[in-house]
Amino acid sequence: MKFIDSKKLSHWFNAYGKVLVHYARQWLSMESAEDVVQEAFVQLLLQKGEPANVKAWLFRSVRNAALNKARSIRHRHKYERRRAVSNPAWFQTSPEDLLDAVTAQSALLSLPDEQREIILLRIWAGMTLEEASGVIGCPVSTLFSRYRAGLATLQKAMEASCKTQKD
Amino acid sequence: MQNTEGLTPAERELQEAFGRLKLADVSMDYEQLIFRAGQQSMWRGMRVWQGLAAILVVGLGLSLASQWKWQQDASSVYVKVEQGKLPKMTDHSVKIGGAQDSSPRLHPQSYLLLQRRVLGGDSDNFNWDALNGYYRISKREVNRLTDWRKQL
Repeated sequence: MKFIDSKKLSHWFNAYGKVLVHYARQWLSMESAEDVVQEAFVQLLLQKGEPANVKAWLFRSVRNAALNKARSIRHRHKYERRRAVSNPAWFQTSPEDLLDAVTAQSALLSLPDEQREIILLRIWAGMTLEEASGVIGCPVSTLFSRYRAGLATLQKAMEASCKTQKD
Repeated sequence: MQNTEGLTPAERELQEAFGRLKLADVSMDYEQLIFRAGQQSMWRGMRVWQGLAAILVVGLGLSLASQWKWQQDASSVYVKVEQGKLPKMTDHSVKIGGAQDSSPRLHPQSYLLLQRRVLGGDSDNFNWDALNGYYRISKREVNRLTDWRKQL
């Protein structure tokens, strides 16, 4: 049995680990998200061979595991789930940022799940719509519509936040 | 950014602005991951050995059970008894037990005694085991018959 090279694993871990945790945080608390991501990497390491597209494989594994885990804890109060998803912060704050991290986070969390998912995959995981389609299992055209709708919602949320701050 | 075709300049600008935000760090580290992988790999190995041990135990149990059954057959005598007729010695015990020489047979005098008992309606005192149309007399019953024969 040929295991995956540890150097490669380390590279993938550094490249995708963080974004995978935030991807899983859409449905889970930080702790559970990290647990799910670690498990996905462990499963990757114990694979007999390297998947054709490791990045897509990791995102798909994390998505399935996170959704299953979220389903199993669905009985919890929605407010608790929302609080778990929003804490701790999603973004690092930097003076060079064009957007305020806190406002951006609240705008992102206000999106419907399916729009936020494609926004995350496109912007922070750097996936093409074709790759994202392989992960989510939806046609590219549907994902493109969701992506545009998500951007429009984000735009509105950011504008509303600017107006509130001015007032 | 790939696949930006079809987006308006405003959408593209927003996409870039969001893209500049860096995701917060997470506490998960690589060493932790390797430790967990090692743990799981060890558990997998243990499960394989546990499975093998369970198969061996079941195999041993089946082997002992079949040996016990064989010994029981080998130490029994099979007699065909039809209602109203004298019991007949059969070679069924040889067929079932499979041990031709070691298969115990009733002593002729014990057999005569058995016939007499059956004719006298005393057959209920024996422990008969119905088996494929035959009756099996256990080794203990054979010994009892032998003892009676000696007393006579």
